[in-house]
Amino acid sequence: MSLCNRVQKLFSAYHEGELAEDQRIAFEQHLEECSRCRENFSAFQVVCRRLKELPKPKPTPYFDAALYYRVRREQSHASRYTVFPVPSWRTVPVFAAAAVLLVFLGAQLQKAAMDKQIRELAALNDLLRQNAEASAHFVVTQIDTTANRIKVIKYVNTRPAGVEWVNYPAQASRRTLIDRDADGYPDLRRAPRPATGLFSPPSSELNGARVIQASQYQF
Amino acid sequence: MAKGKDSVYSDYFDFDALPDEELIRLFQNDELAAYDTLVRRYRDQLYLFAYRFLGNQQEAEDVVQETFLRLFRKRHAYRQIAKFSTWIYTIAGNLAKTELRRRKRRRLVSINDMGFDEKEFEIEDEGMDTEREADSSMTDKLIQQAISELSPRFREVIILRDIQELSYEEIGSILRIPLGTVKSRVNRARLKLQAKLKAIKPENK
Repeated sequence: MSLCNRVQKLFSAYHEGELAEDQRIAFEQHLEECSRCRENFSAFQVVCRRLKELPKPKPTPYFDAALYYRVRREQSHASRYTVFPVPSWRTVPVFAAAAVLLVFLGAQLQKAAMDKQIRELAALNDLLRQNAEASAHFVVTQIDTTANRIKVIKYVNTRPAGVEWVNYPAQASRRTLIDRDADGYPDLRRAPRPATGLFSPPSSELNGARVIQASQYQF
Repeated sequence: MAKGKDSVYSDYFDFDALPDEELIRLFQNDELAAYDTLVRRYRDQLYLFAYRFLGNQQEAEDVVQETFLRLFRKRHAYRQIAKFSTWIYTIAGNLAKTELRRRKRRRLVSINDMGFDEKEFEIEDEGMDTEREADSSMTDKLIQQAISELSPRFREVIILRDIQELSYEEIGSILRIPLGTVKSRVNRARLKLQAKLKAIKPENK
């Protein structure tokens, strides 16, 4: 390999100041002596600089809207239990589940209670989805049966706009809990579309979020 | 990490202040605002990578959209052992390379499209500085064209290093190649580019 070729291999290292002192001196010495390498290295530096100066274009203004649409479609295509997964044993015959329960009765009692709650959540959210407006909907993420409350996230245009624990009377049925209220949703429909981001509400909306209230439901 | 799942939904976070790895963890717990923050954080830089790699605005947008959709679908595939930035760049890079292969298969781009005929060469630098002079923008086009003529493995290192200004270590992680290989490949890519860009004279700028 000629000296010029070896020097060429060091172009980047020299350009980025990574050469050891003795290498750097030898490099510079060669450049002084070899006009071809000198010209090449000069052009090399120009290329490096021009690459850094290249414009940095951004996506079109439609990018967010298109992604938002695709993510929404993705969500609606997803399994109804994607957000709150239900154990796969739901799909096996009931007697198999019953047998498992019999064998591991003690341990399963607690698990069954949790699964029941998960199913309850899924059912609640199914009903909420059916009643959802295009602009706003609620998702119940937890049921706290000991304190008679549910945790609700409000979404405006699929963006979380508020989170709140909502108390409900102990005797409330699932249906009465999430039935659409005549006063609640129309107001939410008028909620302004967030100006930034896909899901993040602007801070003003966060603060002034009209979060679901238990009183809005007819128990 | 101190926050449990309960507080994920109970509190409002300043998501922009959270590191990537915390955001993806929140998103794995179905916190969509965390996803949104990651999208906003990586949208422009992934687009820049894809745009310079593919030389086409629409294809670049498609690749980045697909990257974020993969992130949405496969959020649980991410493990904390890797940096999130490395992970998302790897996804985008693989998708961009797939797009390139697809383009070749479909013969969407003929030799003429990649040639020096300006009418055929459709690069729109949307974010271009309006103050740039016409001959300078011409040079930008020529540089992009020269980048597009590099083979993908040289193209990706030069974009990651010289346009996106990532460290050699980060590039090595994204491409899963040793540090020494990254450095020598970057140097070779620059030399190849320089050879293609003899039209640019040092006194131009």
